[in-house]
Amino acid sequence: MRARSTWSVPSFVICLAVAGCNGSISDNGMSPGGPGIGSGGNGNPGNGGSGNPGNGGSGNPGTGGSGNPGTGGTVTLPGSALQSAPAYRLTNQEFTNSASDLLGVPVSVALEADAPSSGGFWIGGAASDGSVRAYHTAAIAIATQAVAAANLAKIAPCSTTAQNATCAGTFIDTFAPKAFRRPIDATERTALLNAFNTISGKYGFSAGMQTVIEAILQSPSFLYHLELEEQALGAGKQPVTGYSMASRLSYLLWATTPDDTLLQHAGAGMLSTKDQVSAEATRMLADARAKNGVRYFYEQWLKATDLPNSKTSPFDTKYTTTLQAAIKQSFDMQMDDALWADTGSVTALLTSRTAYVNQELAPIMGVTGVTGTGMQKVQVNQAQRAGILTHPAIMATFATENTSHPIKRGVFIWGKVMCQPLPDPPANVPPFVAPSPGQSLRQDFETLTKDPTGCQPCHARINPVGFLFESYDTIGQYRTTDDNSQPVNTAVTIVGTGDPMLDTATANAPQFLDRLGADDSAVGACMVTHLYRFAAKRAEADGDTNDITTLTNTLKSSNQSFKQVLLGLTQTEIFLNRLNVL
Amino acid sequence: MRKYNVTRRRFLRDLGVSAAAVPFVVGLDSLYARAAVPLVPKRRLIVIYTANGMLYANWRIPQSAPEIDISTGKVLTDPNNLLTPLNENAARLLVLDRVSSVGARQTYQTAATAPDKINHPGGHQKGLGNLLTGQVLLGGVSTNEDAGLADGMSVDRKLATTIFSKTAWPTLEIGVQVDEDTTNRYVDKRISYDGPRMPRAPQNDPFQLFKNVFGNVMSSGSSGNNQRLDMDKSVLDAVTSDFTRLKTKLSSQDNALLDQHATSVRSLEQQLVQAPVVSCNNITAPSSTSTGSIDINNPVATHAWAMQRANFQEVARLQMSIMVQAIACGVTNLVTFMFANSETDMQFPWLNVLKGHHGMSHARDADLVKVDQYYAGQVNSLINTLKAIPDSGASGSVMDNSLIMYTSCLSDGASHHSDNMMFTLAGSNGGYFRQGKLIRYNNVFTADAVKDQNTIGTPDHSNSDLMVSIMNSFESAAGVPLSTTFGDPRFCTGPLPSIKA
Repeated sequence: MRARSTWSVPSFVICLAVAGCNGSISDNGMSPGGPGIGSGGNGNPGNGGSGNPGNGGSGNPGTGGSGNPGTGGTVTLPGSALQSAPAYRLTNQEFTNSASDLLGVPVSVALEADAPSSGGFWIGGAASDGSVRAYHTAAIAIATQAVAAANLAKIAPCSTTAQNATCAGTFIDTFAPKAFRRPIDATERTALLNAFNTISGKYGFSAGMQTVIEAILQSPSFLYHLELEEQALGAGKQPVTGYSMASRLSYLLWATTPDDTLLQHAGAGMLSTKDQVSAEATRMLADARAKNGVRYFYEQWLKATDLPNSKTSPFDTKYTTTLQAAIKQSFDMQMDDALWADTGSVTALLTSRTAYVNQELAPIMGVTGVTGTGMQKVQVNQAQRAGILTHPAIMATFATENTSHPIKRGVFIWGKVMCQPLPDPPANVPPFVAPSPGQSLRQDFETLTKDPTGCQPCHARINPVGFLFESYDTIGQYRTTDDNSQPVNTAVTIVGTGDPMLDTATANAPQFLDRLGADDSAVGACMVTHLYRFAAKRAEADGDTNDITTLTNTLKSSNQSFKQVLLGLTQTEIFLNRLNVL
Repeated sequence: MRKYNVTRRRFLRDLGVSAAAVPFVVGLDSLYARAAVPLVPKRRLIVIYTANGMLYANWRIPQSAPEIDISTGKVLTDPNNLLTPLNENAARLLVLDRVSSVGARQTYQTAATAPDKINHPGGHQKGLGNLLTGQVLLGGVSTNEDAGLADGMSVDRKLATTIFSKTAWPTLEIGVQVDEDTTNRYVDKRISYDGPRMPRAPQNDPFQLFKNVFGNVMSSGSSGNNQRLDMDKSVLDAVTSDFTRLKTKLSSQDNALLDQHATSVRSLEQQLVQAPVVSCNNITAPSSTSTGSIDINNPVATHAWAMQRANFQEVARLQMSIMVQAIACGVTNLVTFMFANSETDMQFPWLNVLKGHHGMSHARDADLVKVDQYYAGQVNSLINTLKAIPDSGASGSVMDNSLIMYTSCLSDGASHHSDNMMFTLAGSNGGYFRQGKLIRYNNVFTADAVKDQNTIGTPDHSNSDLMVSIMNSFESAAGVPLSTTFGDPRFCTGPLPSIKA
């Protein structure tokens, strides 16, 4: 759906002219960045570090300015992982899922793009004029559908003769608390009923109902996680329980609004203790909706299911919309296996030789004999492919519109899989050296990045990892001849990972991934760190180290059970509490 | 295809909204005229943005002179010059050579070198954030690969809040395939800012843009429209009362956040009930002629269509058309129009350029001429279109009372430098700007264009200086005091000299 754009193409590359590239990029991200206590929105935020987490530790990114554009500073609590934060707005996915689940209609609306948190995950930041207008348009579309003749009876089960204010009142009494994720008060009820009466008097029952639904879908009580009960407890650290906890659980684990059971448990005081939260989370993780929550996480972590929507010649004819759909489905099924199946693990994520293909995807992944549009579980050529990182979803994403892209692929692996992110290219790129004709794509990049001081500090690390994936073209097909019609050479020596098992001569991507998977602690810790950023809605800080370490240990001790990590996440300080600043 | 009419009912509601501001009720008609027609000057700014810099050697006029008369078009005939597609409108051009985006300089990147000893990271990314704001970038967080957003308001929003706040759409932000992944280099994808770290998103989907801008106009006059407006009023009143009720229960931080939201709700309400300033005749909506089989009433489908590379040209055409109609109708006077985004690596199949734009810019690839001439041709078409539309309620054509600023976020894409930007202006904005000229603000001119491009000359005028001149062109028409500085004052020396007619 989105045009991918990063900063290089096959013929040319940006050198990273920095003083060094071993995680000590001076003044460009490594200064720990004070927590920015009480700093205003205009202040210069602390600069998040491009933390080098080493072997599973967390980096040390500062947490200066808040991830919310235009909203004030962040307050931290000494000795605690808690940070104050403004109320979170629903992200677009959360909005869509919630509206759809609440009204029982499919929701297809255009909303303003989500903003990123400091941790790199989408976040509902401050609403702009555009966001507000998009909500208005979306609310009309959704509510119109909800009150259409075929649907109205589902949400307002009154006989046609009883379509009146009483029926509307009953609807408000059931629907508004679900949408607001808490009981409503008499004033709120009256306001909604007045809106109904004003419109239904002139334009009829369904118009009145539509008005109520539109108003609810644009209400701050629906759009924001306000945690009113906890805010009422006063300044400082306060436990999050009841309805607010129901929302936290639901949006973390299901990426949608709480179901009736969850709200009942909230009302019955069954979400008050750590153990109760754990029990509730256990129930929720057994529900199919949990897969949606996790999908929402890894879609953002790996950027892999939002595929480029087109490729150019000669790949455009193969890269059809049906192939794109198959790639997404196949990727999700493989992720499900690794994250949910009893045999699943981070190791499987990186090394599994099992894949899912249909007849269109099979030839792309080098599998023969598959017919039909349905997905079939198959074995891939184990010398050619391993795990999700050689999947077409990843390869097509980190590529140009018609060639592979070793730099994009290398930067992705370093940052997202090994948690050793590389800095942005600087403002003074050294003059590049034009490649000579007749070179391989790999040789082009080697030529372009050979400057020992301007480029090599970072590219010595990026390039070898990227070159391993030269076996896959722009749509993820295995190949032995590259985009320049030259033989593919994937043999490299990896440097700079800090792991002797990896910093060595490596023949190809499967060999690298087998080693990376065997050394599951670093990748597991990286995944856990990203999950923590997702849940915390910000980059990690010093105060989070203990919880991240605990979660990483949970992953190890539970035979790499992702479910146990999610459960552990609901037991962390940041999940169970909030820091109020009044 | 309908003429828009204001109903009496609707007027009364409008009156209800604005009655407090109107001291005397003389007669409904005259009052309506006062209430509905904002006292704004017929002046307009249209910013046309393209990515990844331009080839200076191909953009500048190869004559060593501080000022060149280009009005006859004779100097815009070189087939490799990027402005040649604008030849027929040379008499309306004002080409500003040797003006730099000073705040985007590398000097302002790291704390070690920055004069303020504060880190303002970013390479390529710095240009766009600085372009219309005249501000440095705020530090980002590198877990997020984010160079940080700009530290202040952009010129379009400044004009919106000071001159055009009463327009139905104070500003419009329009995009053609602007990347929507904000988790990666957010700053690359936003040109317009409400304030520090508060960027405004462009609308990529022409169907959605049209619905937003004209939906209310198009459906007006019918009873259905009255129902819609009544419902909007009830809905937004209920929403506003929710915001009010919550105020006492929230922290100051949350209140600031929700206040901003509530303000937008109120401004939406005003927009929905506000009559267009002039008649909007013959409005053409995007249709399935463009999209073929997809369902144009499904915003997800139209959005997906709009983001497909193969549809780039058609999306651009539709977006331009909607922009022109919005301007001609007086729905807006300020538009930022983005062709893709900073660092885009898009290819151009329709130009037979199957190389990524970003990579080409680092290579100073000769095919960039094709790309930038394509964009210059788009600007030329826009000028021709606006020339042909008489300006309602003002003398001359819409083009006569507009300023188009056509530029990129960078100067030299290869080096990420923002010195000596390509500012190509068209239109005098009601006679304010000189026309048919190239002004070269310092005397750096040698045979080596690349070296010249990366050389800072004296005087060292900035994009902020240009923003002051743009502000002045509106302020003088509106009869309000003239700005003397814009953005971060460190980068501004006042309005550009030699620019006024």
